[in-house]
Amino acid sequence: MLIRKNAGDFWFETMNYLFLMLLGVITLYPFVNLLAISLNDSVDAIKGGIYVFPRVFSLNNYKIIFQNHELYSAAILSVIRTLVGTFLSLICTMMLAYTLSRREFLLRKLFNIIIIFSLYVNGGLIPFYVLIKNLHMNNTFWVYIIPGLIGAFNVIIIRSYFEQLPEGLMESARIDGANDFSILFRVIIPISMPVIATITLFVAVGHWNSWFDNYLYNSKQSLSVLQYELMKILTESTQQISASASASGKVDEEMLKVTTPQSIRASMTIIVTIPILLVYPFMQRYFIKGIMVGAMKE
Amino acid sequence: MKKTYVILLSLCLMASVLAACGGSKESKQDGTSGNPAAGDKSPIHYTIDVLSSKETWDNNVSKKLTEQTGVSFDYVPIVGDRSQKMDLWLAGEDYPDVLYLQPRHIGKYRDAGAIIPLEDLIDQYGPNIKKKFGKYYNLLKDTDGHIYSLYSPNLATETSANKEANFIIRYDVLKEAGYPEVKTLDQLYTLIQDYYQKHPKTEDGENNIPFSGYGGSAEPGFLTNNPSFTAAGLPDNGNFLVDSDNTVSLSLVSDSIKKYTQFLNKVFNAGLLDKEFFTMNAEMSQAKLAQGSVMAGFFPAWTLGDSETALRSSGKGDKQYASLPLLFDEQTVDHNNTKTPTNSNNNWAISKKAKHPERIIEFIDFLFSDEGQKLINWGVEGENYEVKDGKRVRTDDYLKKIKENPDAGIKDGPSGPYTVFSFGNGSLLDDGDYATPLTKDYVKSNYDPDTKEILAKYGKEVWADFLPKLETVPAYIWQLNEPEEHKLELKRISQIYLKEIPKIVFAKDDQEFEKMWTGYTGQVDAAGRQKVEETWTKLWKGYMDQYDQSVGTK
Repeated sequence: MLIRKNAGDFWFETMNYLFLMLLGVITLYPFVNLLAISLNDSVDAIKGGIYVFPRVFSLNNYKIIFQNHELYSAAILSVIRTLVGTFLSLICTMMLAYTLSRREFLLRKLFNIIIIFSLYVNGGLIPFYVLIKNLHMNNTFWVYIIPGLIGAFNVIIIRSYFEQLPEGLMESARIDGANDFSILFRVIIPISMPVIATITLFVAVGHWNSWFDNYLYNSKQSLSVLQYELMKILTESTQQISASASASGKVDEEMLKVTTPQSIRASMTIIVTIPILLVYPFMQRYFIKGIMVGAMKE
Repeated sequence: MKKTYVILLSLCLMASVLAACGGSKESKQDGTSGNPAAGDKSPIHYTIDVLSSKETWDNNVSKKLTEQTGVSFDYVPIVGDRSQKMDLWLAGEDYPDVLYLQPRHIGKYRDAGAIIPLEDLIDQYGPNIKKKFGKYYNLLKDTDGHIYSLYSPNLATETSANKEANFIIRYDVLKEAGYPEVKTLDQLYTLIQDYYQKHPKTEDGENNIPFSGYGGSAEPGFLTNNPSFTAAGLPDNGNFLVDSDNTVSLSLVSDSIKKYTQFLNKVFNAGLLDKEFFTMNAEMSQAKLAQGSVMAGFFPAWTLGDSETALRSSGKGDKQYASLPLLFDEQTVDHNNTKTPTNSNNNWAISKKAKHPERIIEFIDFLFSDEGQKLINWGVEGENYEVKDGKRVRTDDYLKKIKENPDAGIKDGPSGPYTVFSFGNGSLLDDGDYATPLTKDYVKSNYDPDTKEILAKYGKEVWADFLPKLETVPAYIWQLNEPEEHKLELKRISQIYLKEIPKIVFAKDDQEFEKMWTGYTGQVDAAGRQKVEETWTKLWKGYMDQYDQSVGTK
């Protein structure tokens, strides 16, 4: 069937596309700008005026960042942390969410309240630090994984999703002899891919971007994650500037800077964003797929 | 199948719990116990926090220090928010043996009993410390009479050779006018007016900006406040001025700020003021400097570094900036070049965890000796410096190294938290030679040809030669702890300042200027100026009484 478009539709669509394109450009521009700055010679970049293309092309900024050999082992640890952390966190979150979504669970209400409560109130930095220390979790890899294993917000999202699944699905599985684990892993999870993909992305990005737990709890170099190492490079480059500033203007040759904080910042943003950008296309299909077509007839 | 899941999961969880519990036991031996008698050189080991993860004790100077004292340190780097880390450490009793901290951190550590008083130890083990502090020794004491942290006295007798004045004029502007003596703002005005008439654009076709400033409204102090007291020849007391009988007044409404605002108004009405004077940020003003389009302005030396590097690297060495002290008129006496008697900024405190604290005091005491000073400032003789014609100079070898790699000093030169015990640039050791390598000769040797040329025209060797004689002030008012009282009023006044000053600078004529200025001061008065001034006067007078008592001038 063909739908005839009238002039109004035509204008609406044109404006719509224009608006969306503009929005796309606005969102993309800061990123392109950073890319241009990061690929530009750092001293030249001080002059400003770099928008879309680098003026004096140079890979020096990246070279300087990658000169830090700690980055490689830190990157590996970051990947491990993201994989292990996301996997464990998903399993635990889903199991808790499943339990809380079951109406026959007696303490359901109490636990729901406790979890929602923790969204609004927390112990604060220092008590939490003391807790981790007394658990002897500082200076271990597991401090990255265990404290953040279950996020209250994620539990609520998954629980709500599970709750709106038709009860008949679980019932029929139970009739076929499935226990709760089978129901969760073999019935519910396969039809909940959209929400799981979303939460996976949340958790994975969170793990990938996190540096603060490293800074707080792990002072050992061998336990450094990528973001923390990058953060160190950045603060140290600024310190170098302030050191040379106190040593003052024209005698800087001693402190001759190889690159500037502005350029380092730009290059780092690119470095840490690219892996995440690469993951998105693979995750995307789950956002569309996985709707439970024909699983149940009410 | 279901069993597999259960087993797998429980294994996973078990493993994580076990891993969390294990691997955390890590005992650190705090060095060997030795005889606490003075002069003990047996090896002993401490931890101390540092601000850079690059720092290492595996360094030629550090090793020499260990050789001399037996003491060695393990560095615990703090990356990120220092105050937060200090608080966390205190809460978890995780702090290192020796704390490298700022004065504002000391209170909490003192109240928690985490750091020990040092005066008795200094009496016994720190003769050099006492000697070098001299009459300023009592300044180390907290209000309760105890000494909780150590830092160095500033023994500079002349201006540090790398210090520069805060007003700048571009080299080629001075050259065109035949290198005139520029001492006042009026002379600067005529100079930039003449040049701008002839050259509205730079050679690259950019618009010349006759007069600019650093950072626009993002750096409110640099708009009018700092330039105003600098041009009045007064020391930097932030938002305040202190007169001879120690009465504090707000510098934001002072006569000098009015004079300077008048100057900006004149510059604006002549079309010479940067169009983005109030709206730009620090990065934008640096970009303008790097393009070589700014002709003059108020820019402290630390804002110039990167931009001048960019200018030199693009072959525009003649567009660099001369840093000159400019005053309101010829009669103004310049007292802007000042120092405080001590360098209390990054201090050392000894935690209660440290065994044999007397060894640390002995270590610091060694740093206060000439031998120690040579080590922490110059480095190791033969490696970092040599004595030529009775004067210490850095070796060519070491100079080359740090030129090639700015981090070379971390491995092969004086670097680390002990460098804060330096007596300061421009101070002399007992042998009559400079304590630090930042000497005139060294600074000069780093100038590029353009800078050397312009300095030669003025008959000076370094920019510091333009500055008046170095004076000692007891403290700057912004170093005191800000009283909570009337903090709000002060904030409101700053807001009024930020809002009104641009309007006043853009006033059409003198009449309008006067009218707006009266309106501005009226608003500031109404916002509680008197209360703020009284609070700060009380605070400052209290500090000065204590100071006079400590130093024994009263």
